[in-house]
Amino acid sequence: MGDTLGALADRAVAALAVLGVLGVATVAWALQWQAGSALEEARFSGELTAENLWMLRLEAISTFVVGPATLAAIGGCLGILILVAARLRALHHHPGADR
Amino acid sequence: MSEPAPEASPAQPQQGAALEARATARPAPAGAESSAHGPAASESSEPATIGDLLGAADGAVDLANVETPPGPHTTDRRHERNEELARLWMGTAWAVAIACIVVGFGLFWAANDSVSYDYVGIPSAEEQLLQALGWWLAPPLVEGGIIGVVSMLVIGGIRRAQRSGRRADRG
Repeated sequence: MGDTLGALADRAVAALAVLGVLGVATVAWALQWQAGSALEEARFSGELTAENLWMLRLEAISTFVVGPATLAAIGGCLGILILVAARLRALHHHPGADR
Repeated sequence: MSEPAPEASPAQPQQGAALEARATARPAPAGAESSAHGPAASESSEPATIGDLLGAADGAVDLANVETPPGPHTTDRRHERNEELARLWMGTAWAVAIACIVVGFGLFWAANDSVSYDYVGIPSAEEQLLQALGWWLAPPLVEGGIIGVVSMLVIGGIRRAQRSGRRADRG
C-alpha cells in the first residue's frame, strides 16, 4: 500500500489525473447540456438574439467536446495505471529507487 | 604492443595467410591467440590492435574486419549525444501535440464564429469550407493531440522511473 502511494507521487501521474478529471467533468457537462436542450425544444425558436446565438454555440461546443473529453478521461486513467505499474516495477527491481 | 612479433616480420606466405584468417574470424578467444603468434602476442590477453596486425603482415590484414574496442569516454559521449537527441525529438513531439490541440479548437471556433452560423441565407464557399474543416477536421486534430500528450506523459514517467532505478543501482 505504501509502495503504491509512493508510486502515485509523480508529476506525470498528477498531470494525467488532472487530464482525466477535466475529461470526466467536460463529458458530464456536455451530456447534461444535451439532455437539457432535448427537454427544452422551444429554446431556439423565435427571433435570433445574441443570447440565442450563444445558446447555439454552446450546443455546438457540447457536441464537439464529448469525443475529445472522453478520450482524455480514458487516456488519463490508462496512463496512470501504466505509470504506477512501471514505477512499482522499478521499485521492485531497484529497491532504493526514488518514489 | 605496437612492435611486430619477431618471427612475423619476414614476408612468409604461410604466416600471412594465417594472420589474414585470424583477422577475419571474429571474435577470437584470448587464449587462442597465443598459439598462432610469437611471444609478443602471447603475453597479452588483449586483442591485437591495428598496429600489431599491420606490422605483423604487410597488406595481409582485412582492415574492414578489425574492430577497435570503444573506450569509456566514447560511450559516455555517445550516450550524452543520444540523450540530447531524444530530448529534442520529445520536445518536437510535445510541440506538435499541443499545436494539434490548439489548431483543432481554433478551427472549430472559427467555423462556429462564421457569419452564416445563424443559418440565415446561403453561406459562401469559404464559409462552407471553414465549417467542413471545423466539423470534420477539428475533432480528430484535438483527439490526436490529446493522445500525444497522454503518450508523452506516460513515456516521460517511465523514463524517470528507469533513471531512478539506474541511480539506485549505482548507489
